[in-house]
Amino acid sequence: MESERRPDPPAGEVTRLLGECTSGDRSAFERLVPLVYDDLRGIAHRRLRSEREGHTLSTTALVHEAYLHLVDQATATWQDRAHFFAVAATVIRQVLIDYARSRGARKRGGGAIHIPLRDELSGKEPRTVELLALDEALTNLARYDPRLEQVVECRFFGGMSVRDTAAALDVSERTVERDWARAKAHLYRTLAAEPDPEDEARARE
Amino acid sequence: MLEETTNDAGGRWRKADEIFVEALELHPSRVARFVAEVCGEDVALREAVEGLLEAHRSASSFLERPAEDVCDVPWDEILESTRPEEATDPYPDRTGERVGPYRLVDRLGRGGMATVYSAERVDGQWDERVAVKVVRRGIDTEDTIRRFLAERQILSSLNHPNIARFLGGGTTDDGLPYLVLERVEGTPITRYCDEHRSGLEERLDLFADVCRAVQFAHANLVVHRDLKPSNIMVTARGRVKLLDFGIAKILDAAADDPRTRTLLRPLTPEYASPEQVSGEPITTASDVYQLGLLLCEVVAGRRPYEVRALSPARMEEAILTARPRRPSELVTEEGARDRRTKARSLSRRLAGDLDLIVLKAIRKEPERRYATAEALLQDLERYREGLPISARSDSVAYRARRLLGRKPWLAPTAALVILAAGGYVYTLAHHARALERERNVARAQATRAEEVQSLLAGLFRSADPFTPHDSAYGANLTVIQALDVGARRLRTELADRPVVRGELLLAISQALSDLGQYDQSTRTAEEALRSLGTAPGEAPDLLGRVLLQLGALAAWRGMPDSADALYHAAVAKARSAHPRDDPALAPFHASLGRFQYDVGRLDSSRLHLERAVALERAADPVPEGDLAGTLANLSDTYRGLDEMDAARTAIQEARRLDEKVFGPDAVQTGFALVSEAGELEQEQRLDESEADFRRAIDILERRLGAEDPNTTAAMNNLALLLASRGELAGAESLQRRVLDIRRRTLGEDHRETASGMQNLAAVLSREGKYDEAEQLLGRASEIYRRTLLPGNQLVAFPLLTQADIRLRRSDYPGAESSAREAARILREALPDGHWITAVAECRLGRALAGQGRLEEARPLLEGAAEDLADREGTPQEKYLGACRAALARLDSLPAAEADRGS
Repeated sequence: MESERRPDPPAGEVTRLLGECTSGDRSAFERLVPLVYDDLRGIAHRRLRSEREGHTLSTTALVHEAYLHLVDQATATWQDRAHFFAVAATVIRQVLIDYARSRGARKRGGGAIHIPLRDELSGKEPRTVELLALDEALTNLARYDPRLEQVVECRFFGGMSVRDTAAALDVSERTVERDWARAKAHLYRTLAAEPDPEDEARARE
Repeated sequence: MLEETTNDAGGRWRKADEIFVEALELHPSRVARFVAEVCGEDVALREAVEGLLEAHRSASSFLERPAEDVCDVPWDEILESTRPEEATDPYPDRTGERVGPYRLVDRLGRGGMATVYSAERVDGQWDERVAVKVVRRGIDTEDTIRRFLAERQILSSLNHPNIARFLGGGTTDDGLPYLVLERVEGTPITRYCDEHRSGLEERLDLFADVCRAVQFAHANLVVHRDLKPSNIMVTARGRVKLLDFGIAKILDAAADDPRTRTLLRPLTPEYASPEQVSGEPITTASDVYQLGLLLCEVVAGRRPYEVRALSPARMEEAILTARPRRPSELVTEEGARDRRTKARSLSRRLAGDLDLIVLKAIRKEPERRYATAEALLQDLERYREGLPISARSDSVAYRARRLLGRKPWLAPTAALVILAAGGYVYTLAHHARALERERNVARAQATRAEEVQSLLAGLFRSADPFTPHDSAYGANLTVIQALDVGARRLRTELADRPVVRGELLLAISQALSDLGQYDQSTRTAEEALRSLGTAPGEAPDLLGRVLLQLGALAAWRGMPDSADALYHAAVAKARSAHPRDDPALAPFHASLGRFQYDVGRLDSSRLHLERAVALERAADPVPEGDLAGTLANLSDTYRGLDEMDAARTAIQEARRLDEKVFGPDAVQTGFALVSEAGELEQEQRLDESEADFRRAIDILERRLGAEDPNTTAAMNNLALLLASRGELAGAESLQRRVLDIRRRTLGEDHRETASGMQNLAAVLSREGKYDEAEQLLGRASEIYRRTLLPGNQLVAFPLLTQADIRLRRSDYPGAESSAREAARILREALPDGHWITAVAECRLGRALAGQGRLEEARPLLEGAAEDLADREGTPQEKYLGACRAALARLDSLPAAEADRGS
């Protein structure tokens, strides 16, 4: 039988806020972020204590669990679900960036978290960029078009499908696909123009 | 870094972005010119756009793997810095409260849907502890409560030593539904086995108990829906206990609500079946799937896919599409130690049959899994006894079924069945006829839907004096909606008259299936079955008819195993209700007989159809329309058994009856003539065949119009006959007419239009009009590839004709490539040694011989000639001739001897 005990947030609060997430109004969304953040951490915490050695915690599993935990399954709609995962995507971004910051400021090498910029198939030398650089470029990009930031949060940080992203942002799948291509091109262009930190590291040696 | 967001930079960003987006829509060859045009003299803008386009090309993999995969989120480290405070539980702990006759003693745990307490009787009558599940606030919708009340009775009848008993339920004082269940003290099966270091045999024993319990529940029409190790306990004394049987359905309140159908179900991702992920109906097959996963985990220690660590989209994708790993590949040393053996020897024991059993249980398509838990168990037992298992034959049998796979509800395009090679698509007219018969039945019963509706309306009107007098459901409801409403109301009403309720539900189910609403129809028939289940033994004939309806529905829905079981159960019930020679049994035998034909069991088909014919003949008055249908089906069966005389006699009698019932000019007579013409052609009685075709076309054209698919199908068949008689000009003009009609009525891109092109091309190639033929074939090929699944044998047909043309043109390398591709597809799609494949191999052999590669050509030609040998005396004889001629040429070549000698 179930063995976990865990606290719940005020009943229905999350479900209600999800219902208020509309494309124009981000206030409900922003109020959800801390709720989801706390819950994810709470679940992760209990999981780590109870899981056997050797299990890595999957973020996705945590998000799913938080969803079941926080959202009233009887009344939630598919769109609520998509909104929830979009909130979770923002949370994951925040968690990752906080963590990356705590590992050491940019450009000091060592602890930085890297993500791939391009692989062998691009026809160029494979290289990576720092997660913090991506974050910075993404924040900048949002100043031109905030939806591009949301699409990248959903797709990259949240691992969401095009379909779910479209539902979360209340736009067509075609729009998501186009925005995704736009965001990727802008970010890539910005990030590729920066010097490769690994080259720098090599040069310093 | 990024440009500053001065107005100027912002303006340029937007402009560049806009042009970039437009350029993405263009054909690559036009991009450069477009960019140059719109940017004009603005060099900075042009560089920005070109930079974005360049970035777009290089960024194909950038960000495509989710952050979780590429960063490996270190939750443990993250948590170390920020420990969340242990918050208090804002939900009231009900420990100590009284719920019905129980007092909640201790909270055992909570899930997404309910909190579980251990509880004891207040009156101390028994000191047995129970588990009480209190549904969470928010789940306590009207729908849940209704469902809950409906299920309660069924669940409490689920009495099995390996199933934790459902003891009852009710609602708490503050209105939350609760369930009382037998309290089980035990360990999840997987952990139990590992802790006891159980060997494979002991594990399989426990698993067999699980299967039996699940089978018992299925027989009582209860599906578990959430089988997983934590729901399958083993007690300290080694007894298996399944928890929460059918509970998921009660808790899954949102499941039937169309608003939330696509919502992520409150399911266990690790054990979710494809249909649960995609929101398809959950059936007993879902339990079989979960049993398969469980079997894998119990014997091998791991599940065939790991979905826990995946993103939501990828998790769904994995469940829906990933190829599962075999149990024998999943064995680890640690796992083997828990089974008191070595990894290598465990892997060897699992490899083969056990792998196949697991893979069959967890197939993505529910209808390809074991039909029942019992079937799974039987295979497992056969494996343990060293007998051949049924899962082995699955792929061939499945392919054969697929080949025969007829889904009449896809009418009328599905009436086209591929029969002939050389690019010929032959219409099985008798199938179209069977279809039409069904439609007629539906039409004859067209009023049924309305009758049932008004019956229901009257029923409820009298039951409810407050309903407005003229329409109980509002005038704007469609018949289907009204039927659905009726079915739903019947769920709660007439509970005290289960037989009447069953009869009404069956009527609604039939009306719904007449209207093509197979899902709703199935649900309603299942409801009828349950209703009758509460009155055991009272109406065996009605029960039989309900089962027959369910069988037909399962067959229509492409679930042959379930259909088989249901049809047999129906016949058994009907036999228990009627004397052996009662004409009332005829429809049961007729349906089962046709079904057996569809799945390829011809002997059994003959048995039942002959019985049905005998019963119908004995009835007074003889139901001539029914008898004609049964005879037509019997004729198909006879032909399948290669009893051509009997087939012809049967079809002729069917035709006579049709003419008598419907008149000589009736559409039915037209269909009968097409069938008969096909028989005659197969027997090489070509003059008679042609005459029948012409008469049929005449009738169909007058009654249905030239553009009706049945008329064009008959024209197509006549054109094929003319072509095989060498009347190429006539064949060509008829095929042009068919193609023309299809283009007009179905559109240029339709699959049947492609078939028309294919058939016309075949005639043209024989007339030497190669260019037009090749052009049509290329077009047909393209349409097939776009509209058919890869591996469909139809894709091979244009290639086959193309190979033929190229052989005629002495373009041997070209012919080789077409024939090779065709042969590859056909080998994959058809059973071994199929004559169509042989035709492809023969053409490949001829193409190779033409290039002097005699050593490669000979085995192909010899094999093909052998596979074609039984085509002598049929219209396909010519392919055999071509093949033998090529072999003869090969032998006559002096080079061949030298080649073979070397």
